[in-house]
Amino acid sequence: MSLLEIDDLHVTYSTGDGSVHAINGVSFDIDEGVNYGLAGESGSGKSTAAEAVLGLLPENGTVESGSVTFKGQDLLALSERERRDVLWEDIAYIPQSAMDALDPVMTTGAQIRQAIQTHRNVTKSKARDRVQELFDMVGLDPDRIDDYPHEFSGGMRQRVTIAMALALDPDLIIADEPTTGLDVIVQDKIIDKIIEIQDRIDSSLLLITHEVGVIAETCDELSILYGGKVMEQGSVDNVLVNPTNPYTMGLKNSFPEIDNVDEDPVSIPGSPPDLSEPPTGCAFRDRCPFADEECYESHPDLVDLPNRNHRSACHYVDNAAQMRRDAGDPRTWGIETDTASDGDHERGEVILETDGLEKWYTQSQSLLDRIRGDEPNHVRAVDGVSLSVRKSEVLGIAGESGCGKSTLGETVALLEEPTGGSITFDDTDIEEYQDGNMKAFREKAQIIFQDPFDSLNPRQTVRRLVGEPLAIHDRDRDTRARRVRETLERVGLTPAEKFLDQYPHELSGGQRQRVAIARALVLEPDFLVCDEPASMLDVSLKVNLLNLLRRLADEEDIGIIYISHDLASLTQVSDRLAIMYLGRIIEQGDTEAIVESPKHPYTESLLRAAPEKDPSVSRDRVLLEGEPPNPVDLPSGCAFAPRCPKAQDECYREEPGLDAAGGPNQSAACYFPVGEDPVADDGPATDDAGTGSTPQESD
Amino acid sequence: MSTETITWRDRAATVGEKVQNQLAFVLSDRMALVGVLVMVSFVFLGVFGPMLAPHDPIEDDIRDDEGDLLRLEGPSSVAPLGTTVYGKDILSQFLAGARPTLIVGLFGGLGTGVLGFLVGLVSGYYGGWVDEVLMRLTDLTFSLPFMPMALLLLTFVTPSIWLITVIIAGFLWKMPARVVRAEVLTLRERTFVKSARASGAGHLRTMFFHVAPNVLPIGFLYTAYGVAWAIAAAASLAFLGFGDPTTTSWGRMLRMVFDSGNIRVAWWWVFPPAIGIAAVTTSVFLIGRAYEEIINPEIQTEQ
Repeated sequence: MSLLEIDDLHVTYSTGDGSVHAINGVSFDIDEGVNYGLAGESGSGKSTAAEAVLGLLPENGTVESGSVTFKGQDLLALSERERRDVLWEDIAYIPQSAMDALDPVMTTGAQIRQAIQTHRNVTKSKARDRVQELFDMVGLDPDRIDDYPHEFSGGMRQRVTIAMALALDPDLIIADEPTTGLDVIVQDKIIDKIIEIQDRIDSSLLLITHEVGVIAETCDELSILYGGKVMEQGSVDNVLVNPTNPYTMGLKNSFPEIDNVDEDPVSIPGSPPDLSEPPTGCAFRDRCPFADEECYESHPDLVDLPNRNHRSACHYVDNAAQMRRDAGDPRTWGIETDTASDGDHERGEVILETDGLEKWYTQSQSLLDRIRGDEPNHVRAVDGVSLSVRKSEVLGIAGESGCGKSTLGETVALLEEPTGGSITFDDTDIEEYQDGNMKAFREKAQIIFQDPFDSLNPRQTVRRLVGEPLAIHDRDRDTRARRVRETLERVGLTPAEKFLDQYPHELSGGQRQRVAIARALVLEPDFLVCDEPASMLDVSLKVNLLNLLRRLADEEDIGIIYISHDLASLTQVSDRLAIMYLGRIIEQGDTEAIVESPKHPYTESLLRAAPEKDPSVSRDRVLLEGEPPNPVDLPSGCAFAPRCPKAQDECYREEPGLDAAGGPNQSAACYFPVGEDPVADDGPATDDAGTGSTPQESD
Repeated sequence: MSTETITWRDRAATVGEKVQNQLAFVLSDRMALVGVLVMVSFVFLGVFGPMLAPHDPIEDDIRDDEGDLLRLEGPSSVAPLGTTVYGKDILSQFLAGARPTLIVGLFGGLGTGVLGFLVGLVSGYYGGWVDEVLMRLTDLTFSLPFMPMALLLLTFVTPSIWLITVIIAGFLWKMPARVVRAEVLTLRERTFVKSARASGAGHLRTMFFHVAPNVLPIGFLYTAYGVAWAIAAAASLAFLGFGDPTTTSWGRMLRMVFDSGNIRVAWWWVFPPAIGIAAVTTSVFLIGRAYEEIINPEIQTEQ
């Protein structure tokens, strides 16, 4: 018998404007000891399904019909009290943004102990022993159970929540996006830990995520959801290797991969379905290139595919092989591709150049220290960065969070005052601009921010938002109206009339980000800084955005700095890459050169940390030890040395320059670069770096 | 030019629609509706009250048929709300007294709201030493007790209704200033403010076009509360004998009845001004509470 059985679940939310049919008949079973994945874009109903199982639906959500059976017990029929007994005892939950789920005024150990003592009649010291055991299991130092949440880093806090979920040996753990918001390297460690724990204990896991790659690496079986319907389900090996449903194919193809620099990911055009009515036909029909009348008439039932653990809801399962071939071609999805843009194109003159750029923040001092005249501590967010961007070139800047890449972006856009070094923009030193000529600079250099939900003034219409830069730079009214319309259509908001009078809250995330881009482009700048513009968007939207930026660089001669922690999307869009670590650039060069043969050990581990969406491909993990050091108190010598698997005495003595290693189109700040002679094609770096790291890491 | 008028008209239409939406929200709350009705009649009294009064509140004496002065009489056909100890008509005093109350409330409230809003906006937006100076000033006004300070000031100058309004606004602006500043501090860090600067907007533009509209609802709310505070403060001052001696106000009516020593007896003299003040301040808070639901989405979703 299965551990958890969900049968024909329907969930609706009642809102001010009618009801939203979030889940429309979802069924799946989880067997004991199985890791189960739920994947889909936002709005596909994956989190709602988990909340329905846990009985944690918001007040306006109702389970219309269907059943949720856990070990033969109907979860939906339980009273509040009975459910409390089942939760945590049998089913543990790791909520989204679990890092904020810890109580800041209670030690982490006490929080876990509390969970244990509520359910078990054990003494305090026994509970403490159990907490230490759990800390050890998730790879945290057992002596730290009396530390408070703020004393841990984000990834370690996530481990604490995992430890808490494991506290009572639950039979099922439900994890909602456990790695979203974490850096690739940390994400990789967590995934590794989950797999390791799974081997040691026999509980099942329900993993909800939008990243197919994470599921491919951790799960045995999965369901792909779309519009509250299961599109395809079965074993991970079958579904992800040979998808039979056009949606799965689209989802898989839209994930950029680091290794294929030349191959553009293919996005799914269109937006998620309107769920104000229960879907009558196939939920995916409007975006599916293979849809015909039959798809409009009825939603296809899940069809069992012969001889394997694999079901797909598509009327044309029999044509799957043909569809798979076609789905790889962007033209199938009605996307025009400009063949000319691939490969080499003319790069223009240098538009922006920095030399030894520094941005140090002074830490606040106590009055006594100030009187004594002590030198204040500095946080070296950007510490001597030299780079250059040409017109019609995309320079990608990658690094973990906290490495200073966003500060670099804002300093280059002069939103932060540089504290040292120089910036030359358009052959003019920026001091000349700052000398009462800032408007000229602002007209030519623009910045796009990370969060599309926060970067637009909620009280202005699209017309005013996009028109404002024109008004600031004294364009007349007719020009303004015309330019606003043109720019909106240029970024793909067509017809522009439809959007002009809308407010940001009436737009979807992708549309908002496009408005933000239109706002930046309306002045026809020469230079654009993009600070993680795609990190909050769904995969298919992300690909759209990357393609748009690439086109802007190619066709309009804009120089672009693209900042992101997501190396996969960076390699898709960038001509050149710069890898940052603790305020410094540690490797720089052509994208292809860096991806194929990273020189710096840090670059290598970044590249290897990205999850692989194809479960048949095995990946060598390079797990870095420890956390980045405190930027106030940097170690002498190479900043990466304490975490570097191959650091020698030399590394601690003196910091290597960017010219310490490299090739014709590449340079890295490392004395002992990875794979000195780049001969082997299949990852020249594996052997060297792999030996230094063990799956067991110490924080 | 034609396009310009159209956009102007469109804009006026959307603004009108917005105001209508917000009013509709207020009206859907029954308590707020009562508040609005009270406020409407209060404003009506404030504007037309003195004209409606059957007698002059101070000059005219009320006499019975025999020509005797009616002192401290209860409600009768001659004086529907009775008379004062000096034989004056209380209804007329009540009607005439609405106007100074309205003036103090309206201008005191507006002054409080506008001054506080601007101080909070500037202080929160610029930060640094500007913030330091303005907030220390705010702390100073917080530390000075309102009543004794106002009394002290009024003993040196002849109180007039406008002077009292200014004094009240000068003491009450601290409340909105604090709240608006706190709100601006979080708004200032929002990305769209950075984005405005990145597109070349100057400080004034960023402050008034991007930051201010997002704190405006709170400004409105505190202006409304300012109205209530101002009315209560003016009434207290008048009751303590520091009101404008030349006009009849509700607070002054209470002072008179207290002075005459009849406050325990002459309920017809006490109730009209007391109920008037209580009703107006309560309605302001009722409307304010309903309005708060519009600006605070968290309360809104609970409905």
